[in-house]
Amino acid sequence: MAEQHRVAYHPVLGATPDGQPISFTFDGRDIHGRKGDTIASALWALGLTVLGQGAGGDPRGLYCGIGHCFSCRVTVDGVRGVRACLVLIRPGMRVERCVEDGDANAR
Amino acid sequence: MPMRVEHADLVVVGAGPAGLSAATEAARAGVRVIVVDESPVPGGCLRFELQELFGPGDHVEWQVGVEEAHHLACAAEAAGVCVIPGASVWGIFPGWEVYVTPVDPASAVPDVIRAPALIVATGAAQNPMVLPGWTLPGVLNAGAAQFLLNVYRIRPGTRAVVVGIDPLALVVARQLTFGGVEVKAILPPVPGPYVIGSFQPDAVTRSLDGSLPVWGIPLLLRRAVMSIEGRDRVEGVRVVDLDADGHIIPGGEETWEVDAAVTVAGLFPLVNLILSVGCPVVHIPELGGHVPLYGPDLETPLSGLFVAGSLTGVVGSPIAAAQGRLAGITAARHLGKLQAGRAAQEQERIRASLSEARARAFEFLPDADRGMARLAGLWDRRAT
Repeated sequence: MAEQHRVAYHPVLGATPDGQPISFTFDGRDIHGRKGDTIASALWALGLTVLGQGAGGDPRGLYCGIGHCFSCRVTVDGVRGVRACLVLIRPGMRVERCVEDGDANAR
Repeated sequence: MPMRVEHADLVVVGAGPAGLSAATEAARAGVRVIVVDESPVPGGCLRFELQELFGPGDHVEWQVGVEEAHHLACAAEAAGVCVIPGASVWGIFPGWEVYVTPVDPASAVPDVIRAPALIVATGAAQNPMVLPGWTLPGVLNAGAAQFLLNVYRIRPGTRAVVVGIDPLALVVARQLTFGGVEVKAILPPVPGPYVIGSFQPDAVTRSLDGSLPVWGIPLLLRRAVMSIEGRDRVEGVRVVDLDADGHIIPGGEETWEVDAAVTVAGLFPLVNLILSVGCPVVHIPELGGHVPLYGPDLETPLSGLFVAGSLTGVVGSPIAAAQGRLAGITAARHLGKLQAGRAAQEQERIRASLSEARARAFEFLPDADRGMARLAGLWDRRAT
């Protein structure tokens, strides 16, 4: 998958340096981000903006970017409720969309 | 499993400009400092900033938040501060005890940090703008748009609207254009029960009759976003016409095709931690909402508890940094690491730079001065 949303040249910051690629999986699919990317930024760069589903099946994704709203939570290596905007990608990390089952206490 | 306990003289919660500056200043006075923060990289929301600074004549310089944050983090490290990123604080208890849990389940952080002094510098968060469709992926609060654009150099979309009008909205709209996003317009939301800081029409709308370009971006005062639409992500916004009093004119509804909607509805101080230990909190709308009761040297009524940064009322990063330095000195003095005369001199010096920063500040809150004066009055009359 190509990083269709990464800016190649920024008029103030200049050319975007090539980052070291990091491979991880999203819903079982092999993808790449760059060293220093959070889960949310790596996925957004690839156009993957839906990170989970609310209890009503409605799509959820990045919203506040500071870990406050919990809208971007995903499952990381089997652990649910991890905030994608706050966690850096690691080689081999398994990320999955978080699907709510309507019971807030279910883990 | 036994609890992992760390000890320090001072714990700082929050590694933004206030927390890092506080930690550095205290460490330089010989205080053992541990800073904890939820983000994987220190710097707080300073990392999101990209701001034009006007110097003498027509000299323009760009302040790059990511770089400034890096400098602050390096200064803290050089002063001997221990920064623990990726750590969520879930509770604080008098004494002081700071309970922590890792944000990334694969990382290790202490369970609890004990210290006789605590500086809380948790900052502020953005109000959500609750319009129909506000939870769709592609609807971003201004901070998240800046997180993508200015930290990771990622376009939030190809065509966007900015919903909400305030100084931050204008800044973010321009930053979107730097990322190659076509900004269709900056415009208000329709007024509504859940819309915070909704657009208050006044004589400006009458005199302007519609549109005003900002860096080539149309700023619309007589149109408003009613809802955000799309299936799996933002596909468009429904826009209506407003009269000069801000009332909806029926019949003029249309849909604009956009793939991102950046919402701006003001910020509020994050007081939850200090509330949990019984620190008095007062409601001062001019400062963004509920703020802790604090004194001129950023002390609170609780012994050994200090505050700094946007938690004390929404401020920009230069003010937050100056407040942090002051809180760091005040904490060092409280801990007996700085002799009183010397500390008073330092506090005086930093209070002067704080006033200077206030005079040049980015105006998040136009009536902050009035709010500060009210807070100072409440501090003077507090029950002791």
